[in-house]
Amino acid sequence: MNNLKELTKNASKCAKCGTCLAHCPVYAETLSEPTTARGKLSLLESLASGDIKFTRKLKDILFSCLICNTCGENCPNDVKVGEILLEARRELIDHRGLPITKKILFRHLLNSLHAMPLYLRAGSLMQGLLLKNIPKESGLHLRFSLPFLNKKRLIPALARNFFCNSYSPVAKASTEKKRVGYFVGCATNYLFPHTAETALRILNKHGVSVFIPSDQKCCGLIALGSGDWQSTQKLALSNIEAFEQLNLDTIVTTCASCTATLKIFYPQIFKNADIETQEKVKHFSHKIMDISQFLIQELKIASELKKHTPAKGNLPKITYHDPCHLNRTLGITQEPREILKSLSNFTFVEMNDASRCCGMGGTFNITHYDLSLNILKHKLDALEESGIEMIATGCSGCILQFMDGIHQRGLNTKVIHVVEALEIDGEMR
Amino acid sequence: MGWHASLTDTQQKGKLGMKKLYSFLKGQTMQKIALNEIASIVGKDNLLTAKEELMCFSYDATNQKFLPEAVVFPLNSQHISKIIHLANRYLFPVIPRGAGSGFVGGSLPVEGGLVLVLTRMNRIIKIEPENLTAVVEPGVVTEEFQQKVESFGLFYPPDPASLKISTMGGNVAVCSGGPRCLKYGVTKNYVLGLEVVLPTGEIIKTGVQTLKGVAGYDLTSLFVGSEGTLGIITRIIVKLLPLPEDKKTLLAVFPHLDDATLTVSSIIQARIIPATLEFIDQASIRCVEDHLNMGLPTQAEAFLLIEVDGDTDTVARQIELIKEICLKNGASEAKIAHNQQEEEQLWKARRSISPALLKLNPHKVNEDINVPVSQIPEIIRRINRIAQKYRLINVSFGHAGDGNIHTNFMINKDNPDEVKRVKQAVKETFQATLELGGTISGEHGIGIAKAPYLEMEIGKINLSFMERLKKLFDPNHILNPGKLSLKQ
Repeated sequence: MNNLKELTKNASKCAKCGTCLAHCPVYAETLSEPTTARGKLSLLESLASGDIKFTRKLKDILFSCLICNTCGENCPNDVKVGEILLEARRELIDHRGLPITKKILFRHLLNSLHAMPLYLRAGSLMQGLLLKNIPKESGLHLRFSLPFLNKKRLIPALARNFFCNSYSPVAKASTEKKRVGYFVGCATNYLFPHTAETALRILNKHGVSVFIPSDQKCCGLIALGSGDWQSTQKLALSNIEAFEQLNLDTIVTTCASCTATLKIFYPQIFKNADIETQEKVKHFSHKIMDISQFLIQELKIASELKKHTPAKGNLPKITYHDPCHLNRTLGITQEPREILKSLSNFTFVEMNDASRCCGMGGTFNITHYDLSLNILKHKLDALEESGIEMIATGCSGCILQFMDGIHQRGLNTKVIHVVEALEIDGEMR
Repeated sequence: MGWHASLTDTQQKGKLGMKKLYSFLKGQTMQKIALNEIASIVGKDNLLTAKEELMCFSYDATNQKFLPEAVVFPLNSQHISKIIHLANRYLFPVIPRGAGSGFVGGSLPVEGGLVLVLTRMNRIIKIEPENLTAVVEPGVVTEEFQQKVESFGLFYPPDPASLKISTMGGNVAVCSGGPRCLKYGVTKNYVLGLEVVLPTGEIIKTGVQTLKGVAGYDLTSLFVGSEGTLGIITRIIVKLLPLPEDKKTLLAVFPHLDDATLTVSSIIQARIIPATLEFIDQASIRCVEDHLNMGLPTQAEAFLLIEVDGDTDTVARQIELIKEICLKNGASEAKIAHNQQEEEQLWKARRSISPALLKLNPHKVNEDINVPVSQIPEIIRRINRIAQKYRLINVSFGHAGDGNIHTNFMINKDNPDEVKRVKQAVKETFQATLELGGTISGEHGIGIAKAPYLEMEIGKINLSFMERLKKLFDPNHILNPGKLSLKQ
């Protein structure tokens, strides 16, 4: 109950001015108040006064949000909408319980070191039964309809070999100048190991030895977003343990969502823990660094890249999409652009509204698939209008979303991670 | 409480069809029958009835809450006409709503009933550069419309502060204005014609598609500013201007308040009408400076933020002239922005006021009084005295060029004594405003927030005439009841 009081105290800072309506990507599609921040905050006030209960309808409304925090960023009263909504979802789960599928996933699968890789390994071998390859794409389609998954959806294939299995515990640089840890994250490990491999090669090449503890787990954002803080806390503690025994100063990540979770959300979910735990979490979070930030700030890669003379002629256009978790949660916008602008075989162009949310929002994309794709439409329009050949970003969630949307619209734009752009550029020299 | 009809009323009117009789026998309530009929008009996806959803339409920017009994999103004027017919049959209130960004509670369902949300009627129907006109639906967001016409080299000047969210329909309903009022006027100066669904369900067209037109009474003007009490606006024909070629911004710092107002009239006497002429008082400057440390001179009693627009040569000449006038009239500093970045920097102080104010106290009571420009120093002095008398923090800023001052009493609503004091302070502020020849609302409207004070300004006879007019339009009193202090 105390939690709820605290929650409504923060929610009631909202003056209902409606500025959030101009910034909410979900409202832009629905044009209906329950999808706005002020609507949700108003409901939290009513919850505290007892006017409404933790109903299913309330749950639907609280989950009709990407938690992109564009509203919070633009709020004249500085209401921390993203934070408040995560807490509201936790309260909701406390009262309503977690659905059984999520319970199994968050509390069993994600937490076990062996179960997840094992099931997914089996999945990787069997995926051909359920899914068929799309020619010339790295994705798959469902062979038949399934609940929760739309048939037109592009599903990326599970990797043959998972990254952690192949590269743990360490990839040493031949002449070691620095040591970092690498938090891989689920999507990168199981779906996009090539991103991780690319990051590894670049780091090694620059004399950075990369430690990849095999006992690292999911960052827990998926559970956090679903209101299951307990599972995220558990995952956090075991991730902290996995890395802290290595005694490293820096831990890099290649997925914005993992970065935000490790660096920002971990300290938030332990804010009521004992001092010792809080300190431990802060100590860990302090070490987390997004790969683009590490490349620019620590390895000074921009000046190195600028030594190459730009190729001549009509270069392919590359752009950057700001993942919400990098931009809004962590304030990282310049480093990825600096890398892309320094490439010698691409022309960097800003896409229209680069920081607009892509509509993925974690499980939002599963629970609100059509809406999620409608939100993406604005980004795809921007890509199509400017004839951009390649879009780089820094979050596996955004990459998944763009892959699906670009495929369904039949665009030729390729979606890649910033580090992959860096490598492709090097290969073209 | 809003559904002030009972089933017997309807039976007496002899309007009980077979379908309704069947529903009645099945034990459905009146409200359910009406809702089913509304759903069959607009489709289920455009009708909300769950309490949690209704609560999200219970407020506007006044942050007061009144729960509606249902929310509907009509998609065209036919939908609205049918819904209004139902409302007259079952006698439930209908409250039109745009973005819910109003400051006076104009879109709040104070007597319950059906909130009719126009956000999904948001098409820009046509823009005709050759005629300098455009036709829009009411749900179009003001800024989106402005950007669209600007891509044609055209200009729609009315610029309420909420233009990023406010709708064109809402703007027309309250006759919104903004900083550009001084040179370009307010919404009513741009509305040529309307399509309106009357409170009795008929759809009428008013006005013209031409720049002139005098056929019949000027009903268009009657609907503009009627705050959703006389009809539901479903289509708006507006006049456009060519987009000015250039603009320039200047920020002047005045150690003395009177010098700032004198400057306003000197500029106008020099035959320059700036596009905007914004005023910021000392309390606002201090508040922004305390919280942002921008290096603003907190000893200054006023800032003027002035923008001129037009062709490049004229603009360059005018801004230099304005700078001279400011310095001659006692400005300690007058800075001209030379590029967009500098312009942003100058506007930053003005734009930071609202968020910074909330750090003084959590709630603001924001009144948009309007006095003749020459009375600005006097009203500011009087407001300061009132604030002192009632021990309240007051901050004033606003549109100096047209005398529209936003005066904010910063309070904590959890303190009942303070709430009581602010009520008194607001009343005295209005009295002072009227004494100085002003009006209690320059651009927000009356709604419910200013309803108790309307008679103070317009008088009994005027108010009762408005009531008779309302009755003529809306005999069953179904449209937006409880607003503008209109009695049934």
